[in-house]
Amino acid sequence: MIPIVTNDVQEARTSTSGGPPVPTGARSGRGRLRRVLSLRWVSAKAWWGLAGVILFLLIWQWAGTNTNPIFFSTPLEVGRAVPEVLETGQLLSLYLDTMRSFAIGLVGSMVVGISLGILTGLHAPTRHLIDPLAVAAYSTPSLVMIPCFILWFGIGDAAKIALIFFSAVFPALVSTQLGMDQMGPLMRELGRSFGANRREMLTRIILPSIIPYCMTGVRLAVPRAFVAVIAAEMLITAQGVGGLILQYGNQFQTTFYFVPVILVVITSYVCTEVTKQAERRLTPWRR
Amino acid sequence: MSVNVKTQPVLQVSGIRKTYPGEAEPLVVLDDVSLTAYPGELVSIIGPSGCGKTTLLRIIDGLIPHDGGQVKVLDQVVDEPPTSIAVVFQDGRLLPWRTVVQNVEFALELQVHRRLNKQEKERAREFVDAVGLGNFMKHYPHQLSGGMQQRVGVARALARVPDLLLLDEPFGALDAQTRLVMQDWFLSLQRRYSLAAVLVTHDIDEAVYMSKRCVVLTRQPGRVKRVVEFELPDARDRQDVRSLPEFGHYRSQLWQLLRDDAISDAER
Repeated sequence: MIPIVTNDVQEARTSTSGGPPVPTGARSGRGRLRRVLSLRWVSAKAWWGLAGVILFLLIWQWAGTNTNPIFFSTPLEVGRAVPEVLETGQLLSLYLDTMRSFAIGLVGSMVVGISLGILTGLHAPTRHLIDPLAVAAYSTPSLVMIPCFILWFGIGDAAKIALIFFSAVFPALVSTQLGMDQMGPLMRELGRSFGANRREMLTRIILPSIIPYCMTGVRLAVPRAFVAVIAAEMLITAQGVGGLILQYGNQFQTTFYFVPVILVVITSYVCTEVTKQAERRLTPWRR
Repeated sequence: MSVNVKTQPVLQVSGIRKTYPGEAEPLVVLDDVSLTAYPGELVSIIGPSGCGKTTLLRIIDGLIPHDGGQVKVLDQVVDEPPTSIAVVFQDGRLLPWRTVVQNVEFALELQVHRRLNKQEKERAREFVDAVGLGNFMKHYPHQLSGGMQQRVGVARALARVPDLLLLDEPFGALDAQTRLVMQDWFLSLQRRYSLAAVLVTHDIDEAVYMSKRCVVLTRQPGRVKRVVEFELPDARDRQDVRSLPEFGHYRSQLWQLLRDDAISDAER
């Protein structure tokens, strides 16, 4: 246990000093540098999490060492394969391709889902009209739409973006509608009593009160959109990171295969954390 | 001027009737309810639960329609929420996404219907100061105690510079000691701004302590059972009014008036 922890410290120390440049203003800059190097800003929770990751890598290394390389690999070999995958597999451009589709599909579905949620939430009959359909579409595994989208949109980016959109739009719609329901009549009564006109009712009462619900919609939509983009690339376009994963898998290049997989793991982890942080920033009134 | 102020009531409620559609025949919630409040006067409305106190307050504020009678504020008939009235709600009803000072700015924004300028924002700060929360300007409602939240609710109402303040059981959700503190605090504020106010409460002590006059309502339909005038010294927060024999007298008088309804309520 002890060597692992010291390992962490060293690794984190080198990574922070190589990270964003520390401002070097006369005396305070030194103090800040020292504070950053002292690593007190890293919480105990984060140390445990890092230890967990390293423990996992050690076990993986141990398990992969004496296994047939067709079936498994080791972290060290995967690490060594990175430059080659970047070069021959053109990982970076494929990754940008994947993330562009992901962003277009996600942003589009959020705009449509949230606007539709607000509009239908303002008008009860419309809301009840589409409610069962929205919930049904939300609970349906979106992958069932793949054959359909291939027929409609071909095997290019359009089908991929359609699948992402379909996966992400319903969580946004359903959460926004829930927010509109939860607000209840009391807040509107407050607005009326204080003389709000229709525009003010929307901008000062309704919209702010549903922000937490919209953010919940985003949080639910992000992992679904991720599943959709990778699935679409594996099953429709055979391009992007998903296509590369499929290709290496089919060629039994297991070590190479793990490189894009780990990239996907890291990206989805970062996306989840960024969403969580954004939610906290945008709703500072919630603990 | 002073004669005019004395004689002209701020609020005139006359013969209000309110029904809701029932199964066989309409359910009468309020029947022939009248009350009057003059400038600087605090009138309380007391009654058993379900007597339509809050409904009456909503009608006075023009939030819901009524089926008979009339509400006049400074000789203007009320049918939509007027700018001359401000409400302090039972649950505080602050906007949770706004800080203390922003909650007060909310009242000003809805009066001018645009973004606030510097002076107006400064005025919002003054009202927060006036309710003693100057050190909590940038706190969010969930960071405040119930009593502090209710102070923000009062500051928000005062920011409208209303002719009439409506208070819907404003201290009902607070613990007993905080409630006593808040009652004194509100009385001194009411005296400072010489506000006319209507206070809905179910607390007999609160009615006697805070108001000049109390309208006792019956239950279902809500009718005026009696209007009791309290001959007690003004500036009650400055002296020990609760230990006066008259206080006990008024208290038991109100209890006599409410008891039957309250008992049938409890046994229901």
